[in-house]
Amino acid sequence: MIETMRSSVPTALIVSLVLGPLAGAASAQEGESTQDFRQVRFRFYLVHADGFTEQDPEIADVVNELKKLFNFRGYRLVSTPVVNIVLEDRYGLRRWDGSATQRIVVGDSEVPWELSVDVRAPPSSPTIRVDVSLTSIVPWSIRENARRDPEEVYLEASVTIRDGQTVVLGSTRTSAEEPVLILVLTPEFDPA
Amino acid sequence: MDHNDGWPDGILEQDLDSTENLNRSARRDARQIARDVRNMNALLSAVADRVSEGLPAVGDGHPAPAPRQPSWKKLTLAPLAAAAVVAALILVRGEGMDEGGGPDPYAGAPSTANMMAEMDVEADKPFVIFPTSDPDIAVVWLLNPMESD
Repeated sequence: MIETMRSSVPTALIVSLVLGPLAGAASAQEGESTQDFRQVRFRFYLVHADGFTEQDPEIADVVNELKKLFNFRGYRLVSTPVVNIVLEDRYGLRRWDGSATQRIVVGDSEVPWELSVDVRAPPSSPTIRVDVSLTSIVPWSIRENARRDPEEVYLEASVTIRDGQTVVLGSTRTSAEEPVLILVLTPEFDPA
Repeated sequence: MDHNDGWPDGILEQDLDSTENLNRSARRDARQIARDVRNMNALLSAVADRVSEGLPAVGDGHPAPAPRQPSWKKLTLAPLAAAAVVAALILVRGEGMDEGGGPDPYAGAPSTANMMAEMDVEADKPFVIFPTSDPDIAVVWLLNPMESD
């Protein structure tokens, strides 16, 4: 009996030493496969700062903060785009990136606007780098050169932002006729 | 079309296309730098105008012409003044624009610098970051350098 136990103990040790790393490798591979991409959902609120005095509950928190900073008489919510972006390590560079564009029609504007979002982040980073721009789109029929950028850039900035944080991107008006534009963006990371 | 430059035209045109694609980001960076230079010049010009507004008026109310100063002074003082204006905007959080008119509990908040560093904002216009009472909300305001006030 004792001899049997003596012979089985080394065997058990060898088996555990061999199987241990294999199990670890398998779990590591599973972990990597689940972190090959990440989905980020952006909630945007496009707001005009003007004389609209009614409170919109969707942007109440932001408006409360803006009222402490600026003396606009009111804030009008004009569009609420939602943009989903899947971040992937497409080139094996240990860097996730992804982008999306969405066209929106605002009020009585004669041309659609384009909301562009470009995102990049290191894997497992608690923050993402976001390039966001809001431009007007010139119809193809009247474009002189198809490869030109849209004619007018309303808002454009790059910012590092974390999950659930809200960035309010505003701009001074470029002319007396144009409303002051405010773009509110909040990313929501899908759990990995 | 023969440019007589020793390069076949077809290859040259293809190279131009590929070069255009490859250099797109470089050209974008160049445009960004040019914008930054223009914006900084506009900002410095605006600061210089603000400084000149404080000069004593003479005769019919027109401001006295600014005495000529050595150029090194302008070069030294202008960026400092610009930095002071931006810092004041950040720290004071637009007290003059405050609708409520109450005391500002966040003036000079130490979180401002942290927030600015964490957000690492880049824009093709001068901008100001306003912290808010909600730590999850930050306001980035892009300034129009062409705007007079």
